[in-house]
Amino acid sequence: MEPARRFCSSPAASQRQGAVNGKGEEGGLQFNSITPWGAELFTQLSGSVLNPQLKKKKIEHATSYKRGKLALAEFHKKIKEAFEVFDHESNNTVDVREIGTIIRSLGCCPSEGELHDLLAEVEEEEPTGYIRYEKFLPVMTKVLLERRYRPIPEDVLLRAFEVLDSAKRGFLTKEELIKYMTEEGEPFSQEEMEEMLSAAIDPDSNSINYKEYITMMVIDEN
Amino acid sequence: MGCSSSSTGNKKSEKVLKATLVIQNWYRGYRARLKARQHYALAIFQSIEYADEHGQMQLSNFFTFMLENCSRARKEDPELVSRLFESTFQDIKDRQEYVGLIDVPDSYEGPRLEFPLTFTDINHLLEAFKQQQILHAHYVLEVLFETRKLLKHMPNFTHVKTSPSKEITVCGDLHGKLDDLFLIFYKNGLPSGNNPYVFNGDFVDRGSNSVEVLMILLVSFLVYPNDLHLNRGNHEDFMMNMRYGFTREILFKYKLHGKKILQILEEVYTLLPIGTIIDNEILVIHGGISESTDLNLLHRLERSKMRSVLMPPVSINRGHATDSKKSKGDITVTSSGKVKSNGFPSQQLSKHEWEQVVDILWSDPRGRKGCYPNTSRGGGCYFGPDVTSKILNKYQLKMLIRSHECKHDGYEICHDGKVITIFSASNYYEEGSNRGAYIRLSYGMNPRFFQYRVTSSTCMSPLHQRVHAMETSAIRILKERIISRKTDLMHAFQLRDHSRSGKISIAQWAFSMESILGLNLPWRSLSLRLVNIDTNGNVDYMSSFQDVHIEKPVKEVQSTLIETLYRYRSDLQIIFNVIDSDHSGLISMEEFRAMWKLFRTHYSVDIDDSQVDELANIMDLNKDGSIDFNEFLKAFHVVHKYEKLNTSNAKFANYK
Repeated sequence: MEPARRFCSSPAASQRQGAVNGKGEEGGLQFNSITPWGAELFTQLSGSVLNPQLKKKKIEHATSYKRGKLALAEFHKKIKEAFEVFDHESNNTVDVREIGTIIRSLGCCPSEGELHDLLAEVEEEEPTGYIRYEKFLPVMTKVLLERRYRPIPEDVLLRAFEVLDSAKRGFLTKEELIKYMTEEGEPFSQEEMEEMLSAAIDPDSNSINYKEYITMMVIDEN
Repeated sequence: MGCSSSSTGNKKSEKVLKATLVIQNWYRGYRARLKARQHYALAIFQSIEYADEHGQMQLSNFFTFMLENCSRARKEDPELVSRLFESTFQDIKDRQEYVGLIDVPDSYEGPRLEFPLTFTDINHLLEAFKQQQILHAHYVLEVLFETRKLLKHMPNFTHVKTSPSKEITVCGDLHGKLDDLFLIFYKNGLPSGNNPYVFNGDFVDRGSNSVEVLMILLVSFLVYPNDLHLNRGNHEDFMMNMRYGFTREILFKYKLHGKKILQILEEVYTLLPIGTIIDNEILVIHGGISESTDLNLLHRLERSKMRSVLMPPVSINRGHATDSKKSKGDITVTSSGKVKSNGFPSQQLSKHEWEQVVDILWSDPRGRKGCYPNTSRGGGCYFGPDVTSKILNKYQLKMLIRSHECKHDGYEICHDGKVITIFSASNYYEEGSNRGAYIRLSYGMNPRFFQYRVTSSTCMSPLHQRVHAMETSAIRILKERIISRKTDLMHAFQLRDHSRSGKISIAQWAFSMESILGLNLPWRSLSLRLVNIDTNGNVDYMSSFQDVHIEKPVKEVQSTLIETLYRYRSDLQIIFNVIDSDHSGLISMEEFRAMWKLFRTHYSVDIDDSQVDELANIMDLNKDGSIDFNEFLKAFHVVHKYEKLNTSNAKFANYK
């Protein structure tokens, strides 16, 4: 089978590859831009069909295409795993209230607003309270491929706390934390607030030493 | 969010807003990942639990195999065969005098019961158990005998009616967790004429107070036989008890009279009703149903013949029907192919009847339509919403309430509201793993759910600590599983490691783990906690076995033998227990060798007999030709490299 014919296109993928796409679209061919290797090789290939070195490059390209396909399969497996853990009845659906948890467990950090938009994409026309895997998979794959909703780096988090700690004391009082978290931005629910407090607040001083807190949470996750 | 007139004010509040959003976003992500880890840990616990049950069912095949094919064994040791099949129940009838013979010394400070029992005895017992006293064997036996008398008159299904002023409470699995029972009684009141209860099976095994839980339930039953209803669960089975801890708990707490207690208990189990029907519309059973569930048949069959899920009806070859050697309790075959004991009516159910009961006690509901064999448990089936509708309609019922599966919130509703799972043992796998729940029902009203959780301290530890504890526990038992299949896993890994680099891709690693261990788990998500992964995303597969190894009781023995014996230790335990009918803990070398040979053949284990012989010889410290098999099996245990000797870690291994 001609390696050239294996190339399939996906609109998002082509968009992502932007500049390279210009050359890639020669002869009506586009490529699966999952793999950066694939993209590079294709641009080298384009415009020169009779090159004797082409066969070697075609094989190389086929391998990297295969690698790309494997990478995609891996994404799918990962998404399936995360989904199945919440699929209590084993019928490829999960409760809509768990979608946020699933998406976040895959390493993404959408805001509540972004989560709301994502939900709209995966819900049925008439919301049933359940999300089907068939609808979830393509949306989530796209999110992972586009590397959307990247997690917050540690230093950004630290700076955020420092902004709230205008007096630069190194800590926030319990009342201050509650006020910010429940009144500003995308406010916490009572449950969320209580949970954060139980781990973050030092009961003796009734305050949170945010630098220590961040360090502790990072250690716990790794 | 205030609006300030000055631009710096605006800028400042914008900064605050952004910072707040960052923190909220980060925290929600962190919290979600914690919850996911919690679910992964639960998935590990559950899949291993069901895989163990599967092993249990395999054991049943082994016994069948043994009995159907061991004509030689029968000739050489008809005692062995009859030990497994002979009903010892006839003897027990006259042993009620026993109870009178067992004295309760004046020095005994535990609770004393007065027959006939009244509600004072219930209170008395509860108070005593709260102070961790042990009920004397005399009373345990008396309770069991009285229960047996009463249960004999009860039908297979108890029919109950409710009214707005008389709601009924349904509780699920308790598994020997006394604190949960205390909590239920505290929140919901003690059982009485106005406060009826249904306890839906699995009162015993796994927890450390199965005796106490069972005694409270039976005493309550004796006081209120029309208002305290007990259904049989799959753990109300003397063979399950051997593996899952109740047998050991009894023998530990009642060193002198434990054996007698076990004998009568076995019979009491078979007399427990199969289910309860509330207001002619709600069916309460322990496990579930199958598409062939026949309630009429289940109403009619003789439930007392269902000794154990591991003892399916066996047909022994005609050729041996007329053994001239008639030892006590010899078995003959009637013309219809049923097995019977000489002079006694048929001791077994028909195969069809037996399967019907197993379905009731072992099945699980699933979202997928249809009815499939329950492959993770090895018995019963998975039934879909269409099966539920079909069976409920067939018998004009509205709902099925069942237990059998641990649920994170203590209960779960599925099949479009027609099936409720209720589970009453909180923290079942580990501190923080799940809540317990019970249901209050009355005719015409929607069921109300009550959830709870037993905590050891006055306030719960923060979420991340609870998750961490659960996770550590789950990973620990998973690693034990992994090490017990080391040889097969290594083989699978090396098969894929063409370049002999010691590394394979994550996909290959996950595939090998799943197929060898037979556990459907999120391997990719768990990989970070189980193996070392390099920057290219490849797995150093030997790291699957790091930090854990099986203790070698004797240096000279090969690793594969150790591994096999460790892996099958529970099965071997049960087989030995069955042979050792006098519960002495000792078996002869011949018995050991004979059992090992049979075991090896049936399980297709590739270990040379001579090796096992050698090992047994080395372990026979007394050199008196008999083996203390408890010691033998205990010697094969897993050592975790970084584990601090912590008694709480032994919780899961309690009584195992």
